[in-house]
Amino acid sequence: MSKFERVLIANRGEIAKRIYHALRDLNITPVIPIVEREFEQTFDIYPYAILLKVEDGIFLNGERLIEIAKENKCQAIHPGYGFLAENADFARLCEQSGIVFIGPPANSIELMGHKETARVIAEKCGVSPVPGFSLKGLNEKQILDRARAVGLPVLIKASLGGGGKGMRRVENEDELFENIRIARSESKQYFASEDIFVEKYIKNPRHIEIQVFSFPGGRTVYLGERECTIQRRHQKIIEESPSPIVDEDMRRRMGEAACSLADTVSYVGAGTVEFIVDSDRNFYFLEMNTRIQVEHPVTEMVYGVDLVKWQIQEAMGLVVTVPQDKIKPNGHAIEFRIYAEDPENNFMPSPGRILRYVEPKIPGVRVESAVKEGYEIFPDFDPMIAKVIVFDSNREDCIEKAKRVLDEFIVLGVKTNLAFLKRVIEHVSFLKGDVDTGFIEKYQDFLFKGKENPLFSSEEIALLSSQLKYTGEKSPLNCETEPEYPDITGWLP
Amino acid sequence: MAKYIVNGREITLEKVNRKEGVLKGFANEREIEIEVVEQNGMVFVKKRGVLIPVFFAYDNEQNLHIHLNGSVFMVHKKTIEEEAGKGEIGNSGGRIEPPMPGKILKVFVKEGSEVEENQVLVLMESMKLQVEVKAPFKGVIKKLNINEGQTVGAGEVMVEIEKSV
Repeated sequence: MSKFERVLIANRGEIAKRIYHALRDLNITPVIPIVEREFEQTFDIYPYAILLKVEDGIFLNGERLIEIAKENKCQAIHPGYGFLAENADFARLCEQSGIVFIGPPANSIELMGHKETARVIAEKCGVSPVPGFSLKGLNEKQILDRARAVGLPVLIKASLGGGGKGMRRVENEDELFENIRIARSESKQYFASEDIFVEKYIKNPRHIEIQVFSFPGGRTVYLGERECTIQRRHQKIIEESPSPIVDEDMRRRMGEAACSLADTVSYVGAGTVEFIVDSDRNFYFLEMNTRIQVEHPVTEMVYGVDLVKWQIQEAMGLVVTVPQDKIKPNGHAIEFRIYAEDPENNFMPSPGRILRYVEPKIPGVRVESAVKEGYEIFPDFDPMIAKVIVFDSNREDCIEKAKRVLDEFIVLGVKTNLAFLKRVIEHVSFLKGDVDTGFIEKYQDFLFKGKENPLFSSEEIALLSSQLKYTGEKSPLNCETEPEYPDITGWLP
Repeated sequence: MAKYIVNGREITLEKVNRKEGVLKGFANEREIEIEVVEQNGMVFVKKRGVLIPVFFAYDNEQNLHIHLNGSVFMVHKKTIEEEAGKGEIGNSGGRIEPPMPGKILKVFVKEGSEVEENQVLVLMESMKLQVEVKAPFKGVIKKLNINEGQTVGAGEVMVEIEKSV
């Protein structure tokens, strides 16, 4: 394989910008399709690239993407995350069309995409999955016996599901079969498959995942773990590396398990093996994500690597294999996902126009975003505005610095979770690393109060407001130097 | 005098004046002051000697969004119309509050009167300024809580109108 001249980015938002940077670093021209609605406002976010105005829904239309890639003389497509990133058919279609799919082979995607198959493979590699069983070939009595053996509560999951979709929790035996029936029909509806399985429901676990990278020729290395336990509505909002509870021995055991799994499915490139960790630090295989993940930057900061660049180099056949013993963590990194949402209102998305946007400029702080002042966040798009990754020599300093970073990240015009994220890291349990997936619910009294600014009262804000002039469409930063105060005695001139 | 809603809290601001960077005023009848500095197009508030940058923007609804020291405030300056109750009408009823505290000079309607939109209901005076309070929509006066000559405070409901369908 020779060097790519042009690569199509089959994604939008911050991950498109991330891939754009990696391509530019490698002196490859990024070809970026942008839907018509956001073409104008996105235009100047990607200088030195080929921009294409395209129709809505393009990122889910594999055939069209390949057509565009060919028309624009691209040798490869980077899918980012979401959309078609874990679609084996698309990977295969690329292959058949002579376009390199920057990701693992279609076959690996397929094997890991089927959660039940992935469990079986994991078990064969000596990695215990969360205790559970397949429903295939079992009668009602056998199912009940197995469920009792696993112990209730249990989760019923769709084999082709993910992200909580098509998942049902069962507390009592008498609800089991009704839920199995519903799960099966939901799975058929969403994923065109009746395959479902049962998994033990581990109460308030931690989510810890291992980053792997498989070099050509079947050599997989692990780049430590990411703790992704702080979640809202089954979505991660804070991720860090290293995890406060993983020591060297646990890291090695989890890492080797993840590598063996990747090698078994002939994996290539960047991947993530997710584990559920119980309160006794037992870890269980959950699933493998066969793509670059949102939270990959924390690993990059701690291990001093560029995973997206590696992906592209690997796809060109140019990557230099790094031996496991050369991969050492250094320092601590925490990523915060900044969403346009209202934490006070059940984290409802808060779309709209960003009127003022200033990223913090602080050493050791990395911001991944593809927005700017005046940018409109559409209601039907992902409400993530940016990711901010804070790096420091140790966890305590990193948390302390992060408070300042969140304070100095300016987003006005839409509601954001910035202040909420700061409350999370101010909590003593977070500081101690004593967290589980129920963190936000458990400490809601602490997290959702404290709207008052300790330094400024509402009265002072009102007084200040009287001086801030409205001067047109854009948000001006001017204040009357010599204010003419019409002796403010009334409403009318 | 003006009314500001700061993160949902109403604050009456009076006697604002600024001299050499010191901004003074009465907020909810209590005197306060802050130090404001403008430099290179940026506005800062000086607190205990520290310069804190003020980031702000107005949206299309004339709401002022301010970022100060890690907190975001949404500020809305009430307009005369809103003060007259227009901003707070429901579908069926309008509770009319005075645009400012003051004295009722004249009441033009009675309970049961039919009124047109923008018909003058009350004439009042505050700080030597006469203000007409108008009906926000066509309707019937359901309740009249004021008499000529009396004074009314902020937030007191003077008149309740039921909207005609």
